[in-house]
Amino acid sequence: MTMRLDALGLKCPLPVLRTQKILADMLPGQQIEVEASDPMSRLDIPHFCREAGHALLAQSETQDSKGRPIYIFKIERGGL
Amino acid sequence: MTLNHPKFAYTKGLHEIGNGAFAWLQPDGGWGWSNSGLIVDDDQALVVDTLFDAPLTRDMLDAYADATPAAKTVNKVINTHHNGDHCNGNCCCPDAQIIAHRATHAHMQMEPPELVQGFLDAAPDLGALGDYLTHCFGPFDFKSVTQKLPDTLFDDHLDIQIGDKTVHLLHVGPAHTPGDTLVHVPADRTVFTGDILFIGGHPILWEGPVANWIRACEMIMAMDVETIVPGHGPITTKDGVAQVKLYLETLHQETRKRYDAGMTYQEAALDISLGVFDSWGDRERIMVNCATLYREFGSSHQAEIAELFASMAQYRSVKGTA
Repeated sequence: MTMRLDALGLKCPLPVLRTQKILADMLPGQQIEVEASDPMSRLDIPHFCREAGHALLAQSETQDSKGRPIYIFKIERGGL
Repeated sequence: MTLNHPKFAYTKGLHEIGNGAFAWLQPDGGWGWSNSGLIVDDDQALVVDTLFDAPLTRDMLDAYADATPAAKTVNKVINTHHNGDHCNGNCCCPDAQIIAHRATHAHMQMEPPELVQGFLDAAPDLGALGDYLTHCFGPFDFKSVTQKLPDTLFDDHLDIQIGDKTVHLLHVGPAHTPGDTLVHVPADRTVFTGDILFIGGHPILWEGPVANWIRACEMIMAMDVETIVPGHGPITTKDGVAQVKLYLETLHQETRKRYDAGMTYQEAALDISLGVFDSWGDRERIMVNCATLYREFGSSHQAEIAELFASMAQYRSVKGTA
């Protein structure tokens, strides 16, 4: 099962800090999908994953109903 | 005050140090414009640091090969640390043994070229921060790079042979980065310092502690060397090393005063004047330097990468780009 974190509307660095907190409680190999709206998350989340040894499995972009961008990060907890 | 070695102009390209040693310089030494070195003896060739992308590195290797027949085949490459402007071009030396400190190997995997390319891809949506990222990284072709990691690791120091020359690799980090390594060639009375020396540009303290960096400067000043090739900037003398050491000591003192006064690291960076050092390039790096020193002083605030670059962009907008 993939967990989901709604970080929409949160300003950086909150999306990465929330991601970090949830990953800390997950088991190696478990996955989480993070949705964020702050474009700075495109720097923080990939950088954090690299530093912490988590795998950024996929990164994509979509839009909400008002056409504003949503950034989606699928992450697998490291430490296997 | 000139920090240039009087024998060497600060011009782009190859500079012969003598006795089979060369330097490759990339003015103005700002973000990504790093230096490299070549050490040869008999038919052996050792390259100290490759460049930020493959085209830049290929041009340099062609010039090395034209300068001395031994460099037509590069036998060994040393990466002085993990930042891409010192190792991305490893892929241009497919048959060379790649040597680095164990921490450099680990951190190269955390900072691959795709990560920086991702920053550039995000830049158009990031306003002033995006403009700054493009200023720092836009001139380089990260899509040309296939990351090639070191295959030979060391922990404290390592001596290697190039022909009859002994080359000493000395780990002095963590300072600028965890794996910082000096490459000392006694036979050439030369040391290649990697980013332990930025000459004419503000050093950037990504890692710390600053005491390690000051100690590394003292180590260089105690060496029997005549030619000192920094990671960025012109070839220098021990006077240049003394200036970097003084910069770090002054930065430490001034930042501590503001930490004790309760300022944020951004307020401290904007408030600090470093006198003659203020005219050095990339002055906005003082934001990262203050953030790292604040952690060293005990602050629990861990600035994420976007915040650090946004703080540097803010510094430039407040203080100007000179």
